[in-house]
Amino acid sequence: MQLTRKKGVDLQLTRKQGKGKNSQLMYHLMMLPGMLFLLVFSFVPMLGIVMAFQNYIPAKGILGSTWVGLANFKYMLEIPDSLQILMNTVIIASWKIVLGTIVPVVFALLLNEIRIKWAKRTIQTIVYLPNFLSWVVLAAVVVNLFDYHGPVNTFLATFGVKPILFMGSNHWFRQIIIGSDVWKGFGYGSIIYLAALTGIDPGLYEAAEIDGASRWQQLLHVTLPGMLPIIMMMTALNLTNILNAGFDQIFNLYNPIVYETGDIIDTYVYRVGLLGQQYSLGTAIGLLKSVVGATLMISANQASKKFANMQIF
Amino acid sequence: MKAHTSKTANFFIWLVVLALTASCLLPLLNMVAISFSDSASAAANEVGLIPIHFNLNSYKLILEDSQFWRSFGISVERVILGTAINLILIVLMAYPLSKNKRVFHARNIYMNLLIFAMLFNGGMIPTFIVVKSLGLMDTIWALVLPGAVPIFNVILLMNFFKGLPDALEEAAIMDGASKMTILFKIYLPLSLPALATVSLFAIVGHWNDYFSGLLYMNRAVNYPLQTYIQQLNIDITKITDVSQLSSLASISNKTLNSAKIVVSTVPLLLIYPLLQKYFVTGMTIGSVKE
Amino acid sequence: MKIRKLVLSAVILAAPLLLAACMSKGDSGASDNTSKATTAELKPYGKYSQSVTYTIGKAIPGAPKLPKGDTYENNDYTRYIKKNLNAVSKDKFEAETGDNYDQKVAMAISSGDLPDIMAVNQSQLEQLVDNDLIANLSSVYKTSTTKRIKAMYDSYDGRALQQATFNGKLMALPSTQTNNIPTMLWIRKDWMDKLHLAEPKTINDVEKILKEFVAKDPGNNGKGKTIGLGLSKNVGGNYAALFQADDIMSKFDSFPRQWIKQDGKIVYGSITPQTKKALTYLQGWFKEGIIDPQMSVRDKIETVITNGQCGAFFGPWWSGDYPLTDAYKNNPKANWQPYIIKDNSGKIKAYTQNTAGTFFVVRKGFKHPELLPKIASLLNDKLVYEDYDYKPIVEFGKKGYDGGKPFDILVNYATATTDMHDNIVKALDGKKDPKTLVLDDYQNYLKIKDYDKDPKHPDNNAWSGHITRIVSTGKMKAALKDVEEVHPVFFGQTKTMKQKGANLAKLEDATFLKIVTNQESPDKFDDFVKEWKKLGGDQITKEVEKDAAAH
Repeated sequence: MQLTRKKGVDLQLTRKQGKGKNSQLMYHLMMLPGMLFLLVFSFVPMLGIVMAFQNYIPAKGILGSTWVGLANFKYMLEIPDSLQILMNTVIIASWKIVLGTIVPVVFALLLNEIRIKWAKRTIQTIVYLPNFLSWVVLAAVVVNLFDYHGPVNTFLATFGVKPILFMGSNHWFRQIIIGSDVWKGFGYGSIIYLAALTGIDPGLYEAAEIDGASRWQQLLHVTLPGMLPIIMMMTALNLTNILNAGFDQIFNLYNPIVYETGDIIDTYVYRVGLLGQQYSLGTAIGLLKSVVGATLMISANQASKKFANMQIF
Repeated sequence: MKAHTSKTANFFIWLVVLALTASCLLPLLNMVAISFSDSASAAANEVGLIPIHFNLNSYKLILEDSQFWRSFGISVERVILGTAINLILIVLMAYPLSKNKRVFHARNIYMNLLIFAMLFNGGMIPTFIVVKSLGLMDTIWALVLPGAVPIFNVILLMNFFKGLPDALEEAAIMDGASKMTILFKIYLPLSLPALATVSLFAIVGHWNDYFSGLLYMNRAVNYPLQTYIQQLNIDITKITDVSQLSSLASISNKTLNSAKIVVSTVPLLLIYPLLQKYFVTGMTIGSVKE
Repeated sequence: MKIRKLVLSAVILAAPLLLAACMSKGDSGASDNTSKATTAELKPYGKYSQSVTYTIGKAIPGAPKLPKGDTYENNDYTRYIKKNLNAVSKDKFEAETGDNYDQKVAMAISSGDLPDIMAVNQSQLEQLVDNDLIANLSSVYKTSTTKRIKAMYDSYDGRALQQATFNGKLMALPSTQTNNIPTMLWIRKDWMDKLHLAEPKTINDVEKILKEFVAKDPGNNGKGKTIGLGLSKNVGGNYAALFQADDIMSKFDSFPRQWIKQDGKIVYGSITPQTKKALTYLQGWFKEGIIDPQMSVRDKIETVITNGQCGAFFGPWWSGDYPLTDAYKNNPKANWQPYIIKDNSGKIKAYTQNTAGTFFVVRKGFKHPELLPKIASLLNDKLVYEDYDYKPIVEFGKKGYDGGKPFDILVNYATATTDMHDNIVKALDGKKDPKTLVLDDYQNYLKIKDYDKDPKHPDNNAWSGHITRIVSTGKMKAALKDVEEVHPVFFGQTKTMKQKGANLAKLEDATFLKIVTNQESPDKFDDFVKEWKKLGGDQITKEVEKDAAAH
């Protein structure tokens, strides 16, 4: 190719970018290493899903175990815990999604009002922090915080509130799970909304001001509409997590007394399916969960295409 | 944006923002204070933000704990190796996937396979069997290879690449550049924020993961740091015989555990400011794409 | 598109092949490098002419406690075994005792790749038997255990091996659980003295004392911080473990979590009206504030004992070793003393324990199944009765190292605890040569000697030696004549238990805990019983009856 041909043929080239066996081959070659890893570590193990339709007996392996059709799924419906665990999962996850959207948005709006640059930057650095710590670590922090004689109870005592056994209370456990998750992620989550805020055309504010709009009205009529697409898209993305209520977090925080409100699908599968050696049942539950997750993911992609004109994949 | 917020409104904004900020900082400072306190005060929940009976005993104990440092080293190795592998694969895959179907014909097939792999998994046992059959147990590879392709991050970078102007690539093609050259010489230098973001995700993910260590490491000496920290507890009520007692003496106390947590957090705190200025932009551009 | 099809078909074709290859068969024992044992090698202490390597599933302590330079595979214990038997262990996996170890066992079973020898619990054992994955040990038990080991197992009237026996075949060697009946109340005598309280004899006395403790805070912990009784989350049903309430519940003839005979019928102890009464009574204590208000979330009761917040707990005779050594070390003025609590007629009711807690199994196909009984004999007979002054291992114990044994099989006589007490007392009285004491007893003998030199200011080791080997075991022995033993009729697992046991246990745990901690009224107990029966409890009861009838 020669430099001289550069101008004027751009459009043609766009189409030509991919033409020719060479470039196609090149693209495939680039995909190859990653696809190989996926093949070995994702697609091959996926065949284990057939265990959901078997009475899997380890000694016989997948090929030798008997087929039981949908028996594992039927049994799942018979277990009295099923509904409770599903409800726990959905409730915890929904609240995490709702608050996990609202709190970062509000925080971003508030932080945007702070004009002192160094203060803003310091605050940002601090609030992003919890997001980088593991639940193994944060569980210790949370338990310590909500201990019977811990800081929260000490604080409440100054208002004459009797100490509350937070981590062992079915009344409080979910709130703590949801709250600590929102706490962990709100600072980090606000990044994206802060960026969306700066992206709003300043001209719109000027126009609003000329029209005599108050600060509050500007928020309602300029800021929020400007942020709406990104909020919609993030919510749609998060919706796919409706059955992921957070294994790491709950596994490191729960105890038998709060199974009633805190036991979720993933912890149940681990406890009963693996440690309790009901492998087929565990796989069946996992499969059902994946199917629901997939459905939501696809819907979310459609929704975000429709509402926000953005496609995730 | 000339409108001036009234003084009261301003006051409340500062109040709420500072309260939220404090909520992020204080519990962590409390953990640090506990690690420097004596164990009696710590167990009695007396420690606030300032250590009581300040001492360095817990840190001295950690210095002597060879397994802690071994695990620490394994985690560092895992982060470096794992992040490198992740990045290479992410970059290689994001580029062809950022092309549309007319340019890269098989693009949608790959994309669907990726999404399928993101949504479905065979569960713990089959993955375990694969890792074991490949002879990866007890090697660093068991910690980095099963998650070698972080699909979400591939999608993130793919969206970022989509946002780069096509003209750049066309110009390069005119110059006779190969796809690899385009990717590494043109795309990547422009993608530093996005790369910093996915690196940070990868680093944090590798550093914080304890479960795969539990699953794929058969020898305790090979545990990464988070796995080591996670298993420092023992269920006392299962013990009914005097001869099992000796193992209980090894249960460590609250101050020591806090110190271990503090030390395990330090590396992240060191890396984080370096990447921070990039990931803020990277995060945004990667996902907010028109 | 050619390429599209190629990609797809490659993925679709390759995947099953790979998985089939993976799942077909685990590597079946790379360790089978030797031929079968000769008659001489089958003898308990018979040394192999050619070195034998065996793989194990190893339970380890959370934080490593080995001497510098040693590993789990190469330490004083493994070297001892190598020296005596010419057998070398290799760890197939290591994991912390508890959930993490269970996870490794579950992964090993599910992937069909077992270590040659490993420890399993009851349900894992049953699964291994059902799946035909482990070896029949009947004949090697005969040939390769010593007479003394057999006598030890026999001292449990056959109950010890019965649980490991399936259709007449011995499929595992269990660790034995020495009778540690009765357990006792450990209480802060210094607090009692300060408040001028008399020694407790009945639970009413205990209640009064603890009330005073909580109200008057003799330890100056600050208002509301003194805890009366430390109690485990599972409430009761694990006799001879720490922090159980069985000593209270048995006063109401409640024997939770045990299959007992009541009025000629087999019942599950957790659902009896007696258990309801016992839980209601405990709830009363909780309401009075004398049970740890945080019991439902308390992860380590030891901390509040060590730091001086807690006034009492129920525990076995060895509580003086753990957790009280630490408490004493922390505050030598904390005078913890054991008291045996009797009912009004001066009796103590207690159920006998499951004689087998952990089972040790041998992988089917392992060429040396005799290794398990041989090592069990070596560690529990030769090491204890002949090599008790074998230096490296004496040092290992003295310095507080842990995790040396390749697997922790413990076999001892049913009466081992009181025998130990008698032997040490004899040695102290000069009626027995201290050199003839078994290893652990000799070490405690030395500690007690230390104690007797300066009983006013013993160090924590001397104190714990004295309080456990002399005081608590002495009281235990004296109380034996007043013990009315209740013998549970079934310890194993039935078919339905395997399937539904986990859910039922969850229900049971939550109900107990909630009633005791006053989150639910005692009347909820009736709902629990109904639900328990409905969710499989009735079915399980039938199966247990059938099993009991068969024996």
